[in-house]
Amino acid sequence: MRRVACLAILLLALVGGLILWSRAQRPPSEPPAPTPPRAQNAPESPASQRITIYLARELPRGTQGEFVLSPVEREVAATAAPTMASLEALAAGPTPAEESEGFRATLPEGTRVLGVEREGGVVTANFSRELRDNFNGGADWEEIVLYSIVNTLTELEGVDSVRLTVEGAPIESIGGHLSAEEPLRRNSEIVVRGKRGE
Amino acid sequence: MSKGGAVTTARCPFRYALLVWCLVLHTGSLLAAPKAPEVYIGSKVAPCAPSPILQDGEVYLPVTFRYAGLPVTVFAEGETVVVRGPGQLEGCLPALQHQGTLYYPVNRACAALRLSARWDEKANRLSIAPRVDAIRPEMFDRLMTLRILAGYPLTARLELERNPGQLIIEIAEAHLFNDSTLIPVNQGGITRIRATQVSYQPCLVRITVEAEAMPQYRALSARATTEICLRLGVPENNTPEAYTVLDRLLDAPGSELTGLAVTGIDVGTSEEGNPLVVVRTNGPAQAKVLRLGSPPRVALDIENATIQAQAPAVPPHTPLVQRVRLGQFTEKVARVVVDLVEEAECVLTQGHEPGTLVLTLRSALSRVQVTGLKGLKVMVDPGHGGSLSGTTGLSGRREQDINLDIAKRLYRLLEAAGAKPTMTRYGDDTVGLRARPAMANSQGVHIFISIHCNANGRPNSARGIETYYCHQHSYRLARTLHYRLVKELGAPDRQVRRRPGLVVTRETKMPSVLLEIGYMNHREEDRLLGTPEYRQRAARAIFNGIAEYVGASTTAAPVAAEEAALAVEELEDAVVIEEGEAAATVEEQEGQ
Ligand SMILES: [Zn+2]
Repeated sequence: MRRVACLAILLLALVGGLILWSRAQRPPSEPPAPTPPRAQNAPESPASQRITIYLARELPRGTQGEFVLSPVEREVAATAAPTMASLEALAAGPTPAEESEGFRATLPEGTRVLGVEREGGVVTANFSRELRDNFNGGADWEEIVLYSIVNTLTELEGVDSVRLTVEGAPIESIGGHLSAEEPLRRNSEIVVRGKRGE
Repeated sequence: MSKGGAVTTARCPFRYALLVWCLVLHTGSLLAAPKAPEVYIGSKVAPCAPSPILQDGEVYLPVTFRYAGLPVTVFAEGETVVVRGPGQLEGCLPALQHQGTLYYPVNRACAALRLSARWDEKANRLSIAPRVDAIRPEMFDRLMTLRILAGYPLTARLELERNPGQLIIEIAEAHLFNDSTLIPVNQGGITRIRATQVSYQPCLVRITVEAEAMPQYRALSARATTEICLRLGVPENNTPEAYTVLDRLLDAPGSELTGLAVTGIDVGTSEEGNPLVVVRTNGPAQAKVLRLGSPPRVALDIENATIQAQAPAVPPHTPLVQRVRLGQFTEKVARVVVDLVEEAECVLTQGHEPGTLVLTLRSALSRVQVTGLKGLKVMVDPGHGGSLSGTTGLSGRREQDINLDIAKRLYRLLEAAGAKPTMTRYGDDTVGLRARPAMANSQGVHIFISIHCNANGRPNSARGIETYYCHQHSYRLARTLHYRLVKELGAPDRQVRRRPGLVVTRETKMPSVLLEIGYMNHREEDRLLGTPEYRQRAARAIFNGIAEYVGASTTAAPVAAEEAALAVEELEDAVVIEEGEAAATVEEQEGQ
């Protein structure tokens, strides 16, 4: 009996060692890419298009409550205007499954997308007043909110920069830390910043 | 007794397991582990432990790696890696953590530092070297001035070839900006310039000037210089007379130099503790001092001199001096630039040795330090206010009110210590985001402190202090205030963060910080921020930090009875500051 136990443990140790060893040889890997939610039973058809939006995601390790921007994919009707569809998907926030993976909505509660205009490479996104009035956050959270909009829109072909308006009027800032007066370009640093915590 | 025996036998299989496990690990790594890549700086191996790692086809170096022989420093700043080279070269890179060490992408680091990194997968070798950035030929009257530019001093070896006519310029310990380049010229007998990377190991760049006959040249600067400069030409025909004409052209005025050279630069500290920059030349030298602002720096122009020295390393803990760089400002003026941490006064004197110039620096703030905080102009910026609301705490308290209360308490402490505080708002007023730094700049304050409270995307997920800054000259202030707050409030340290986008810290010309004193969407911190005692402690911590920053002693300062009373008073009536003063300031700004 004792010998059997001995052998079993030896075997376990061997397998465990091998697994650990093979892991040690691999460079650190990216976090598993979040799987895009797909409409049930809907085969890939030309009736839909895929868009990428940037949501806030809490880093699983490191300092608590640290957020970065992380891309997720959405499938929308092929006929939808991609700029508007992207912003509406952003306003809808994460799916329950994504939420359990640490994703969070970025647009303040009640924020509605009133419209999008495009002129050359510049997109003007017009939001309801809740974008500013319901914003709750410090300097870094404002950066997350602002660039979730900018990075989502600049993900689209030919969009270089994004101008924000609230009820049609230009705004100085969303939350009082960062300027939103000028059209903003993409900020990739806030996305890769997540790699630090991995 | 029997109990003990049972324990011993039960351990036996574990011992075996451990042994086998160790064996597997050991032999495994001996047999199959890939060899660690080698890192070369120029043609020399540079030790790199831990080894570089590869991810997504990019090579990452550990933050501990040293660029032997190159004036490059690398350090972690929070969770990013900052790389710094000579001159203004600097990069701030995303880092990744692997087995307890920070790694950064070497390609991006090198791009920021005017270096080149080549990863040779077959040879399992990473080569890093100064990059030849540009090859600039300029024709004038049959003569060519050829400039070869790099961020680091390079030395060229020159050789003439008769058949076919060529000038060969070999630069060791450098990489070309690409593998090979061809510049057509077809003027003055010069056909073209061809540049190639002969090899990465050893590290050699060859630039060939191809001509119709054997060219003649003068090397204006070719040794240990960031700008190799040659003047060359080709005779009109292959006669001795044509060569004489060419020689005369090459030696014409404009190409002659006085022979004066900057031969060395050192950074030291005087007996009084003031930083010194010592410039050595090979003859009596004339120099002019220029003080330049934002970022603060001092330039020393040495006339009729060339540079034959390298930028010196600044010894750690040298006050005021951030770095020293040098360059040929014009063909005749060598310029030494001292980048300062903050504004400083400077005096230039002749050193004891002939040809030596000594620049002595003294902090512009140090005159204030002598009398403690007296006269120190501090602008306190309570974040948000009026219709520009900040965050709302879990308890319903508004950030703008908490900010204002802490700011007023800080104002009181500063005023009592003889400093000259001002505020961007004195009540619940609407003051634009850009108007705040504009006030500080126009009033010429010494330091700017923006007071905020924090919130993020998930209640109760975060608590603690975050301190933000933008420009390098604000880092010491940020660090000092941050650690005071962390220590005196006993709050978690959420790091000093460099963020380029924050308006108030970006637009202010003096050292400036934005403090996020706790999370209002964290139950416990929100409760603490709601108590006057905690806000008074926060103000006291910032005050102590400012005193530490300007070198004033505060340890002896007891908490005054008045302050103890303040600590328990409530928001609105805690501190009354003349409203008239505030209104005037705001109007003045809006009028601009
Ligand atoms: Zn704030």
